[in-house]
Amino acid sequence: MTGSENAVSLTAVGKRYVQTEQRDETLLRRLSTVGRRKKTTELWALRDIDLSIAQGETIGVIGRNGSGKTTLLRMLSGVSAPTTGTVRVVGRVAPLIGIGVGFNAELTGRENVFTNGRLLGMSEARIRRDYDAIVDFSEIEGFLDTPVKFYSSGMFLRLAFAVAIHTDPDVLVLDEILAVGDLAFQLKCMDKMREIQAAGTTIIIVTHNLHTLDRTAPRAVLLSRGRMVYDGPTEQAIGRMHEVMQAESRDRSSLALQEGSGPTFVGGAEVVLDLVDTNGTRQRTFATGDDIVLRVEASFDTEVRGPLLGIMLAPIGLGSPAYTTFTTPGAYDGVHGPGRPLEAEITLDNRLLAGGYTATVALHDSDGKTMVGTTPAESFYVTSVGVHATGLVDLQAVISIEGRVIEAPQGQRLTRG
Amino acid sequence: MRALLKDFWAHRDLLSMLAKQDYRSRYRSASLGLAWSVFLPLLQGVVIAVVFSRLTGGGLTKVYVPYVICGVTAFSFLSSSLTASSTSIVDSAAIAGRIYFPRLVLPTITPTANLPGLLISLGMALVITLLTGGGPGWWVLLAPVAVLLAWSLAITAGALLSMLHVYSRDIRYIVQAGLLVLFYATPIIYFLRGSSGIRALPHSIVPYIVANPATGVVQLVRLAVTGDTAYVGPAVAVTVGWVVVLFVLVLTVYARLERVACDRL
Repeated sequence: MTGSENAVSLTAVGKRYVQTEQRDETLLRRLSTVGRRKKTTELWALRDIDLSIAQGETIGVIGRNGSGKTTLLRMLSGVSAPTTGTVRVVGRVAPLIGIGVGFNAELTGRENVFTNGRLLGMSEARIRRDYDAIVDFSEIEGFLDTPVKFYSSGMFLRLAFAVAIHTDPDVLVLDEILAVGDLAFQLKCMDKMREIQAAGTTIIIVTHNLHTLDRTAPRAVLLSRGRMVYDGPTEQAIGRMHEVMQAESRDRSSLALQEGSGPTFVGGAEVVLDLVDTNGTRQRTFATGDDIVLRVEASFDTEVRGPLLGIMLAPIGLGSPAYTTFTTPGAYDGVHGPGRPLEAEITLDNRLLAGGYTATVALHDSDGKTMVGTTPAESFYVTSVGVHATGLVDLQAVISIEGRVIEAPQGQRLTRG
Repeated sequence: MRALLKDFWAHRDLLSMLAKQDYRSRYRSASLGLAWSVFLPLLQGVVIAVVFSRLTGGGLTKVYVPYVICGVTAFSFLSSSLTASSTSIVDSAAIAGRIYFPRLVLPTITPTANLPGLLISLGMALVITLLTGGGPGWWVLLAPVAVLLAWSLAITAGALLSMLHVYSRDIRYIVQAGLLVLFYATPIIYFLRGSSGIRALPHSIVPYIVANPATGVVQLVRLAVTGDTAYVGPAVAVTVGWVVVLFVLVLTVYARLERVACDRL
């Protein structure tokens, strides 16, 4: 592994899809429009992409649906040619796009291992050599002579993943497949990934599940509407993705909200929220275990006595909040009004786990019945590097078996094996 | 184009794997397995022979049965191969849109997987010919050539059609309609050349029938099984011509579209 040569280099890559009028696939319509100018719409799925990936590097490609991830992937695996620019890949690419693609339900597990391995670019001799390892990994020894159609979905996925992960390419492209099977199997996959990484394989992970990404890829590129808008450390890329997502959703709802991120007026107070870290620096990304500080500033049109402060944190995409709290009525009795603004600071011990969240702060009058002002939902992202847990909240399990502590928080594994 | 062929050659083991898979998966759940693919054209041949020999006044059955069976066997190979082959790229969009391997592999799978069935059917046809008192003599040595010709025609036509099918989904139905017409434009149930007591096609129509690429395949198969030499030379020459033209077209089209067509899958 010299590392001097790039495994993948993309130079000024663009991909244009031209779509003729919707039903251009029927012949009659085609014949009837021969000679006439057809309505075509052009779509640049990707534009001006410059990207170099070193040998042995692990990189994430993130972006929302329709940002161009799949198109990039198809070009990397050689299925699709770029419209402009060049795509250069050194060595063999194995795309793991959709587990079980190319499996034949009528055939046995054994037969499928061979054809699928060959489809993914392994030689027959190699498959024969690694056959036992694949079977071992899949944990379905007893069913290899059973047609795949009788497999449970879990067995099927395990076998497909086992084949895929054993193809041993120079460049491995993973698309949304890291979460397969039960937890034990997922952990096994992670271990295997690390093994592949250590062996110097270049890995490209394409995903919009940001959960696992910051644990596996130190670098990530962010695609938005076909352009590469960020290339750098994964944590920052995820943060940027959040800003982009927020900006896009704001675009959509700009009618509802005045002036983009500007404060909203509900009943006489204008409330502004800033997310900062303990040093007072504005942040969009916080690690699990770090403090999140919500800095609130409110100005008033009317007089409010002893306002209450409400806080809500909610995971993006889930209906219910992750955390809400209120100040106790009567605990604060200050009087505010025009010329007498309010400043507040809320420090949260961030126990949330990796994912996107929104924070909203609302101001109520002293009886809590009427809301005088609220901030727009500010989104932020939580990363959980080194935290050995998934879900919404880090409950910091301490696990002891036979009186011995096996697992404890802060990601340290006390003993293993 | 040379790169295209080289790439294809490098993936020949993939082709053989996929063909085996196609072959096995097709017959796995049927208890009679491969027997079905042999039995059906045979039955079709016998039925046609009996019905038509009655209709046309009878008495021909001894020559006519093996004659029709040869025709039906050769033609049903072409037609079943072409039906699957011409939709193969779209049908395997799930793989083709995601993994790169030469697209030419796809339309080649089914014609290749159909070869064992064709060989066994030809063997059966030969047995029936011998039982009815006929026989090909040394012409039987041409059987491998006949099979090769049938296979080449199926894959070249299938490859071209399957790429067109990506752009126009009507191809599927055009192929079905075409095969229906082709069945009657191919000397399967009628004779190209008459002999004692056998009525043949009017001379003026024969050139059109010979221009049909399937005719060469059918006549060559017939020669190898029954020793019937009617119009074999010109018909085979025409078919070879078709195959060559199709082959060049396929290479040209695939070189241009191979990595663009998948954007439409």
